[in-house]
Amino acid sequence: MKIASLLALFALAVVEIACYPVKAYHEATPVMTLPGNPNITLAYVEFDDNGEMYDQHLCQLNDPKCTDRKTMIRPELEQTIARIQDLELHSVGANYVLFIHGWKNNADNTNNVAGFQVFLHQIYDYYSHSAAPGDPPAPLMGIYIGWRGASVKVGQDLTYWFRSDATLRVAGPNLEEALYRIIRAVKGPPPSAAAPNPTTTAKSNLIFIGHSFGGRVLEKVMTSYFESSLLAVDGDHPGCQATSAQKTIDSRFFPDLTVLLNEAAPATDAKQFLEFLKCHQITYDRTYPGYPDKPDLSNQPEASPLFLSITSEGDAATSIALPIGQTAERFTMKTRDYGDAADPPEIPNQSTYFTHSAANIPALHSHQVRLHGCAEGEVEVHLGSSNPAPYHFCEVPTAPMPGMPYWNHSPYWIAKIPVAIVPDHSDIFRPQLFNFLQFFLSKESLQTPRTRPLQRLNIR
Amino acid sequence: MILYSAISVLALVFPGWRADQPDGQATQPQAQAQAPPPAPPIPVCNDYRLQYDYPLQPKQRACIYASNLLSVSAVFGAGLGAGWAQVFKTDPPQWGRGPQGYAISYGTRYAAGMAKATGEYLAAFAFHEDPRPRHSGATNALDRILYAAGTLFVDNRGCRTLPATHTVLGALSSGFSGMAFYPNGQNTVTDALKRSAMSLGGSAAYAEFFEFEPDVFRVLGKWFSPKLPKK
Repeated sequence: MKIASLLALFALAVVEIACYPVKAYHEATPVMTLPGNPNITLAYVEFDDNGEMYDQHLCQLNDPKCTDRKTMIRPELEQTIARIQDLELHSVGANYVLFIHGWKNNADNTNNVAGFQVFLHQIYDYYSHSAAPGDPPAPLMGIYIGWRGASVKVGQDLTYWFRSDATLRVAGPNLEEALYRIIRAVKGPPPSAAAPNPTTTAKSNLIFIGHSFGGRVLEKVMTSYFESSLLAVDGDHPGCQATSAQKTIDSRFFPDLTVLLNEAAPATDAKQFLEFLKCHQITYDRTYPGYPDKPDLSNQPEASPLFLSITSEGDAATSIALPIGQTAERFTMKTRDYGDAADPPEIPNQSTYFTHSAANIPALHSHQVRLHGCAEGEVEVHLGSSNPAPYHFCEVPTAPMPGMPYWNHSPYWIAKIPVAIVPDHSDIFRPQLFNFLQFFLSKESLQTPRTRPLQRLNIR
Repeated sequence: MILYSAISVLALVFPGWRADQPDGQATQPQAQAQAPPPAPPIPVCNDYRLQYDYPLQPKQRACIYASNLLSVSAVFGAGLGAGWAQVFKTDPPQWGRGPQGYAISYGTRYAAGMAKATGEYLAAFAFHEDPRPRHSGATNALDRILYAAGTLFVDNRGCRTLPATHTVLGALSSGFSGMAFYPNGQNTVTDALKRSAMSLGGSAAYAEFFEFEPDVFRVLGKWFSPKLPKK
């Protein structure tokens, strides 16, 4: 009995020491400026293991005065929104970068917390150094979405399934509320059937990045956001039949860029959203009316990504560990064959989507990143900003070619990136990746956010 | 805390303040009139800083050393090595076979690993060398192989190329530490030098693996991907 008690005590002590606590690390001061640059703000919004935001009650619940729902606040989100409103009020445009970390990280002093701060400095230096004299650089705000991606301090590799399940809880109503409120605070209200092109006073850039399991969280939340926004203006679309007239929606209320980086998620969601985009024949483009020095870009719409999913070729976590982990989980469910209806035809069974991430299914690739120019049948993509990385971004052919993908021409861009840009799953906050992302981030729009490209969704 | 208190008081005094503001409109946030406080500095032993900071601070060297003393590879590496020696009978026969022999073999290997980590740490500290592995950035395979091998003897991370002694001294520490454990007959200086050479070979193998690791996983990852038809 004594030994059993001692063992139980020992086990409790081990759990206490080896587990990360369930707590908000930045509740007291969720919004702060980065050391060395007061023009960069960093905010934390944290979620617990059930996907709930940490809240505070301003009075006891049994207090008769405590009947108003406003007696409970979520200090991290409220102060983040207040800071965004403050920047919107006192600047002519700002840049916001929201990051959702992945597995083995949280909002404490983990790898991603430090890396994200360095990343913010890189972005700010990128656009502020070339700002015109007398023109103050636009302020930059980073928003770090924290969750319990790291649950134990030892043997983290064994927590794949537990943390994978946690992502489904984190991508819940509380995070949806947080992200949607941040989008509205920066961009204004989304369109509705009554007002498909709402007047927006948005003047700032908003970039979302989700890494690893954080990519899964971001994809889940933003897929429903994009779908509901599109259906709000195209809701009576029967099946995949073409509508009578093409609709074009000013989509400045969307985030300017949504990046899924080394996303650790089965491709089931991606497959369904890709079908939705294909069904509605949605294209997404942008023009640059605010760039008088680039007349060639002013009226020429260029295709842009609604989602940009990029995964390193050296990412063993999503290319090897994820299929192994998902294969084990597949035994808990049943999948079906698509038969002749398989689309793309290379993937005849649902299980392929369940056991691989989207970027690890070559048939879903929309682009190839190549060092020595595009291959036959591919079209090189030129975006508004010059490409500082020595790579060519090539759109896949439109017709089947041996050994090459051709199917995904939707605004959900999916590509593998070379190990020289990102060598593995975790080493993401590095200059090479930032150089590569500059291709998608117009320096002009970061310098002067109010002149950023006009983004439009086209529904045929 | 003051900031939060201010918001809390405002929320109580003006109950409609948050809920009633129009969507996306810039309402003046009274509590945010001043700049937020500065963020606390990232601890020097944060994983990201240990990977990217240059040059290393003394505390960072100590953190790297501590992590080398107790790491997954140290624990399992010694276990696998001892298992191999038990199966293929490469350990001294005096240690015996079975659990006791395995335990002695494991302890000896783990101690040698600790001696290696200690030797590397002290040498790198004394000669201001950077003990972290690094990628070549080259594309030619031969250049990469040579570069990885060269990192054992040359430290070119800064603006100058300097000799690197910590790998050799670490290997010697590992090899000669065995003299405290190995039985007579395998305890000569020649044996210790052989063990040191083995240890240095291990470092070389790790340097090569580190250089080619992304490519190894790139190839392995393709095996797990659903294939596109060739024709």
